[in-house]
Amino acid sequence: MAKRSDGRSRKQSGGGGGGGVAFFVFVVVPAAVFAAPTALLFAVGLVPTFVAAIIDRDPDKSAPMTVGPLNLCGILPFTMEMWRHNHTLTEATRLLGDPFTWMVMYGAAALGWVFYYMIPPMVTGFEVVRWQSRIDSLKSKKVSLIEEWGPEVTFSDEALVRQQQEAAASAANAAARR
Amino acid sequence: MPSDSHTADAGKDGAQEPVTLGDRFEILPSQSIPALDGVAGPAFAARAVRGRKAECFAIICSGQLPPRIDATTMLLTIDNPGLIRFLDQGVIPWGPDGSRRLAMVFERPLGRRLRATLDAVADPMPEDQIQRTVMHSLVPVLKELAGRGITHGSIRPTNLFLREGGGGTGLSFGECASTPPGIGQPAVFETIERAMSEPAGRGTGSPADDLFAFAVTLMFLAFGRNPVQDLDDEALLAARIERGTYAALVGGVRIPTNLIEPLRGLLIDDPKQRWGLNQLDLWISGRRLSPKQAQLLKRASRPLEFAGQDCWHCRGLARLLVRNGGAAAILIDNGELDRWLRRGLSEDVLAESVALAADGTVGGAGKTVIDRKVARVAMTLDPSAPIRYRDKSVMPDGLAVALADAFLRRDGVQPLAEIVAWQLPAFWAGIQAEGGAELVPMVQAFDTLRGLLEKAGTGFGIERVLYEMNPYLHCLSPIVIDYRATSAAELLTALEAAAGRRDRTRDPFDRHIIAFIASRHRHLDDALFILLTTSADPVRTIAAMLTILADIQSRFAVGPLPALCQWLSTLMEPAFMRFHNRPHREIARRQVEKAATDGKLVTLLRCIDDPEAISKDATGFAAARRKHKAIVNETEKLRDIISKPDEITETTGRQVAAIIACVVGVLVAAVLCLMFLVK
Repeated sequence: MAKRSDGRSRKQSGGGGGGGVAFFVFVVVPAAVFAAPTALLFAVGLVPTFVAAIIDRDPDKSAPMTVGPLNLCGILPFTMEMWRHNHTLTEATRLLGDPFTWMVMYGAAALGWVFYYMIPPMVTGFEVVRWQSRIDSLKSKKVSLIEEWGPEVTFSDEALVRQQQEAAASAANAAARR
Repeated sequence: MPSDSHTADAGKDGAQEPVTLGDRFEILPSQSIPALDGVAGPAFAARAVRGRKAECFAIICSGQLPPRIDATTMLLTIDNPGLIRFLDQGVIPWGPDGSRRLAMVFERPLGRRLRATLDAVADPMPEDQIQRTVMHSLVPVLKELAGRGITHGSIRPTNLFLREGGGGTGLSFGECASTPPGIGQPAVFETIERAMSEPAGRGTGSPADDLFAFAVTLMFLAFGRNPVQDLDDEALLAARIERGTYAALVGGVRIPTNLIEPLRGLLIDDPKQRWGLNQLDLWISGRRLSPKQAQLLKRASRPLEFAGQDCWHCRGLARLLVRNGGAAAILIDNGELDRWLRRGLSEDVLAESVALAADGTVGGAGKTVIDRKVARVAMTLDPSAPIRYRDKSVMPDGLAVALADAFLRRDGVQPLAEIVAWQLPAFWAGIQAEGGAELVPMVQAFDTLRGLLEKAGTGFGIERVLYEMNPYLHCLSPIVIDYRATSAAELLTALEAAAGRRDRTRDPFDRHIIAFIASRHRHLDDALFILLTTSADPVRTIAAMLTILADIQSRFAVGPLPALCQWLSTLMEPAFMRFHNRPHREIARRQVEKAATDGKLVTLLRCIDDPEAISKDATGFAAARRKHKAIVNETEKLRDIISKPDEITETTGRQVAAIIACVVGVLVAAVLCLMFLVK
């Protein structure tokens, strides 16, 4: 799994630079030109996500992926409110001046961080229990196989050949004694 | 056992109940008759079950001597008052242990045994009584036996019975059916050649040998005692070689004048000059011939000193050579023997033959070569003497009985095997002055036997030679020897009986049993016998044995053999172990147990010889191994994963957290969008 992560990380890091530039050229710049109020609100509101992206050394960037969606949910009500009533920089500034706006946007991001730190240990515990159960199941299958086919079923090819040779030699000795 | 005998309770009460022989005779174990005991075993009273009124007795062969079965068919047809009548024979259960013995039933002689022992002293028999009673009673028997080609082989004073009553007195020969000719005969009653042979190796003999024994018997009767009582066999033989039999036996004692002529004629040591039945018949009918002088052996001008003795002729020297093998080899190799033959005996041709015999010893090593060389040289020096090799001295036609005797005594088998292996009988035949063409079949037979002897594996070797040479001999395997099995079918029943014994061996077969089957049941492939020894796979061995025994059971319609099947089933563990699948092993075991109960060897064989089941098991085992390997790999992988929880947290945990966050985000965004659109 770690290998797979590394492979993916290389792939993402390799295309990350190009993707970031494209995102900046085709999304950020047009948004700043054609929807400056929304862009302003997002630029300020998504700071926790940007911070998460910067501080997260994981190539998968799971921190911004966790914080980001909830952070976005925190910005979305104010963006919609602005789109509905007055999509101007003044309105955007007003909203940014309201502490409630900050609390909602950053509170949502904080919830993302809660997710980021709380869910993985729970998943680990669940996975360990699940795999342990699978191991137990495999063990019982192995025991029943040995019961049905004998310990030889566990032998490697070489050990099996050696055992057969020993049996043949023993039989030959018995025949010679006869 | 398909025997012609049975008894109601013989096995239970120590064989005190009468034992019936083929529903024809009853043998009474409680009534022994020591006066009629034979060389083969003790005598017991017997009675005919129906019809016959004459009294009978039975000799129960102890089994310590080989039986004489080949002549019994002919002896059954002889009804001559001068010979105790042989009535029947068969194998009967004898003794509390259920062992079986060969019983031979005879008509009980009317009078007593003429002499209790050879050394018994009695009044000399007058010559007219010898002529009227002895010769008139017994010569017709000798003629009848000679006419039928049978040798009595046991003519001596202790085997003569008085025939009293019926208005006259006569004599009868005792029985000769229970032992091979000559085996119980003191050496004095044998010709010099046969006397030099060991009793079991004297061969079948001939009517001329009977006549010789008859003449010695006459001499004993005429003297009223054993004339050579004070001489042991060796001294007597030496005296006979030196002076001739007649002179050695008569010594200085006066012999009735009338008997001189027949005794001298019948006791001539040269078989060509010895009287035959015709001459004796002429003499009895009154024609008198001039007494023959015994032809003595050619004497050397000077003796050869060997082994502390002076040897004057070849026969005496040959005897000394075989007794002193090491010194004899030196004597042969250093040329001293050659010089003596050429200068002392003036026998240049014989000297050449001896040199050829000595040089023809090829193969083998060490003492074997010396023994063989000495044996060949001794044979060349005295061609009519027996084959003398190491401590063995046997006539070629006596080798079969000698071998059986050696096996029964468990002693001296190896030298006899070497006699066959080194082709000494063929050498013996090659140096005979007469009878060359008649000896060819014997040489060919020994050549075949040598092939069987040298073949490796059970079913061959000396045991096979034993049973090929003795077609009527019972199986001498310690497992079944007490049951006297003389055919393959009887062997199966004997094995069935042996299977019930507590002290039975691990395997129900040994070299004897396999060789016996190979010689008595010729429908089987030799490869089966070779498998019994050479196969490293015990399953193949037991399968081969089962195939052999099952074939006998089906071919001879032998009944169920549950005990033998059970015995064989104890050897089948390797056959079960061949199956990897444990439940199938149990199934196979149950099948074998069931087959063993039924007593059919074929069914038993099918249980272990099932290629389809073996193939299925092998396929299943391979699949199980693959499955096991997959389980092991998966388990290791899972153990590796759960041994690193941080990695799960960092990978799967983070991904799951991100996914949950995305899902929650999407849901919340969807709700907000909905609310935005509704407003």
